[in-house]
Amino acid sequence: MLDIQTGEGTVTTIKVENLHFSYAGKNGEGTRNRTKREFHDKSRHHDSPQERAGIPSQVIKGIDLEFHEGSFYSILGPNGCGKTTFLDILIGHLKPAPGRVLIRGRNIADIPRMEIAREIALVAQNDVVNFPFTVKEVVMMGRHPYIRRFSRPSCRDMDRVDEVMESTGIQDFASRRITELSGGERQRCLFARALCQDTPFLFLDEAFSNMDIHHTIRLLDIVKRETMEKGRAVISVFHDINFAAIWSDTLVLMKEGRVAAWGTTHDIMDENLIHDVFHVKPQVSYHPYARARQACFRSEVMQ
Amino acid sequence: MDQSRKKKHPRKTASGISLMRHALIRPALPLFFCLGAMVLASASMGYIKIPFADIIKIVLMSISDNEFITKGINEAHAVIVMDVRLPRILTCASVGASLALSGVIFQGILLNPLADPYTLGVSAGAAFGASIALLLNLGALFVSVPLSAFAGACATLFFVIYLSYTGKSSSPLLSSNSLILSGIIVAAILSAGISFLKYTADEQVGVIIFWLMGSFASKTWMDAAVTAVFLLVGFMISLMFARDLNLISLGERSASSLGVDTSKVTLILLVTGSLLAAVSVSVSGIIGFVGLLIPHMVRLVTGPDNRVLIPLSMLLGAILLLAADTVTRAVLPHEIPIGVLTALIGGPVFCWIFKRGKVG
Repeated sequence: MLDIQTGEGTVTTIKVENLHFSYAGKNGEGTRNRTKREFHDKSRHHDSPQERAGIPSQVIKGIDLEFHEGSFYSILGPNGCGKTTFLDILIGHLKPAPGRVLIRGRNIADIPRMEIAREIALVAQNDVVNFPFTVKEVVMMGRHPYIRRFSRPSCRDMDRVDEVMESTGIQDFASRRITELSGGERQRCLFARALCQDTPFLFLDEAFSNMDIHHTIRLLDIVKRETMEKGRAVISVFHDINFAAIWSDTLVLMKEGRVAAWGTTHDIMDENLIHDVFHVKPQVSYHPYARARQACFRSEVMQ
Repeated sequence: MDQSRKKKHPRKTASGISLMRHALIRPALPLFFCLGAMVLASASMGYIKIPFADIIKIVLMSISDNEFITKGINEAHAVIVMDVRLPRILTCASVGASLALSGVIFQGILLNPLADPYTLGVSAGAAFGASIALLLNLGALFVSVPLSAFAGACATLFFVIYLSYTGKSSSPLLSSNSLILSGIIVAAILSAGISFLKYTADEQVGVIIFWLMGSFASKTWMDAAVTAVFLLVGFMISLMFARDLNLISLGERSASSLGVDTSKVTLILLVTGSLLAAVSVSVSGIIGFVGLLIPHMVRLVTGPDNRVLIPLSMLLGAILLLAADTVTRAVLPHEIPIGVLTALIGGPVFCWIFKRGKVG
C-alpha cells in the first residue's frame, strides 16, 4: 500500500535547517505567511521588553535535525518548550523564520497542501469533531488526499479503511456517531484516520494522552510494525519517557526551544540528561522485560 | 457492524457509490416533487382560486405561445399567475433555499451548530442599509431599498472579517470564535443604529418596521432572477468545497494536515454564504430561523455529510418557506409578515429539537 521511493537520488527524509520561530505581536498573533516581517523583526526581538523580562518571545531557537524513513522518533521535553510549535513547523502549518523544512530535498513551503497531505499525516492531541459524522466517515476522511474532487472513494480506499479499522480495533463502532464516543475511543478513530492516510511520515502529537494502556500499546505496536515493515517514519511527542524509550529508535530532548540532546534511545536515556531537561532525579537502568532502558522516579516527600 | 462485513465482498465499489446515491437521491427525488407540487398548489391558492390545469396551461402558453393551449383561459388568471404569483413563489423558493444553504455553510465553517446566516451581522447590516434608504425616502426610486440593504450587508460582512483578522487569536487566520464575536459586536452596534433611525423616522417608522419583518409581497421577475442566479452560483461553489467543509469540522489543524487550505476555503465559503444571506435579506427583509432550523432538521435524518446536506437543505428550505408564505398569503385572513410567521413556527420547533438533545 505504502510506496516509498528509495535510492536513485530520492531520499525519504525530512530535514530541518536552522529552524527559528517566534510568535509575532505580544502574545502570539497569527503568524503564518509573515515570514518576511518575522525576519526583519528578529533583531529587534532580542532586546524587546519581553526578552529582557525573561519571557522568551522566540519559541524555536535554531533546530537542525534529520528524520529518516523506517525510524521511530520521540520528542520529549517539559511543557512549553516548543514541542507542538516544532511539530506545527514540521507539518507546514506554521512557517519558520528564518529556517526551512525540506521533505526529500524540497522546501515544504513550496509544496501544495494536497501533496503535503500525501507525505505527512498528523494525529493531533485532544482533537474534537464538531459534527456527528460516523466513525467510518471520519476514517474515510484520511483518504481525502487520494480522492479527486467530486469522485467517490475507490475500491482501494474502502479496503484500506476496513483494514485500518480492523487493526485499530474500531470496526465494532464503525457506524456509531463520533460525537457519542468517549475521548479515548474518539482518539483511536482519529488515529485510524491518520493511519489510512498512508503517508511516509506520521506525526503523533500526544496522540495517546487519553487512551487506555491496552490501546496505547496496541497502536504503538501498529505504528512500530509500519516503521519496520513499510519503512514509515514516526515522529511522536510523548510525555511518558518510559513508553518513548520502549518504542523509539531515536529520542529528541527539547528544552526552551532548542534541542538539548538527541541520539539513540540507549544514549539519551541517561540520568544526567533527564535531570538537566526535566529537573527530576531518575534512576535509569536497562530493563530486560521492557527491552529498553527505563527511568524510575520517586517522591521527594515520603521518606 | 453488518455493513462493514458486507463490504468485504466484491460489491465494494458498487456499495460505496450506491451508499452515496441512496443518501442523496432517495430523499432528493421526493423533495423535488414536493417542491413542484408546492409551487403548483401555491399558484392556485389565493383570493382567486385557479385550477391546477389552468396554471400549467398558462405557464406553457407563456413559453410556447401556442394558440391551441390558450383556449378557454381567463386573461385575468394569466396575469395573476404570470405577473403576481409566480414571481413571488419563485423568489420565495429561492430565498428559502439560499437561507438554508447559507445556514449549512455558516454552521460548517464556524464549527457551530447554532450559527445561522445572520450570525455575522449580515441581517443587521442589511436592515441598517434599508432603514437609511427608507428614512431618506430613497424608496421612491424602487430599487434602492434592496440595493442599499445589500450594500449594508456587504459592508458589515467585510468589516466583520477585517475585525476578526486583526484579533489576537493564536494561529488560525479566521478562527470561528473571533468571527462570531466580531459578528455579535457589529450587530449590536448596528441594532442601536437602527433604533436611532427608527426614533428619528417619525411617521416613516411603520415602513421601516414592516420592511424589517420581511415580506414577499409584490416581488417581480427581477427579484426572482437575481436570487436564483446568486443561489445557483452559491450552490456550485459550496458543492465544490463540500468535502473540504466536512474536513474542516475536524478542526483547523487536522483539516490542513489532510490537504485542505483552511484559510482559503473558509474565506471563500464565508463570502459565498454571506452574499446569499445578503441577497435574501435585501429582497425579502429579515426572515429568521430558516437558515438555523433547516440544516438541523436535515442533519437529523441524513447525518452531517455536506455533500448530501447542501442539496437537501436547499430543497427543504425552499419547500418550507414557500409553504409558510402561501399560508400568510392565501390561508390566513390577513397577510402577516413572513419573518414573524417563520419565527413563530421555527422557534418552538427549534425548542423541541433542542430539548430532545439532538442539536449538532
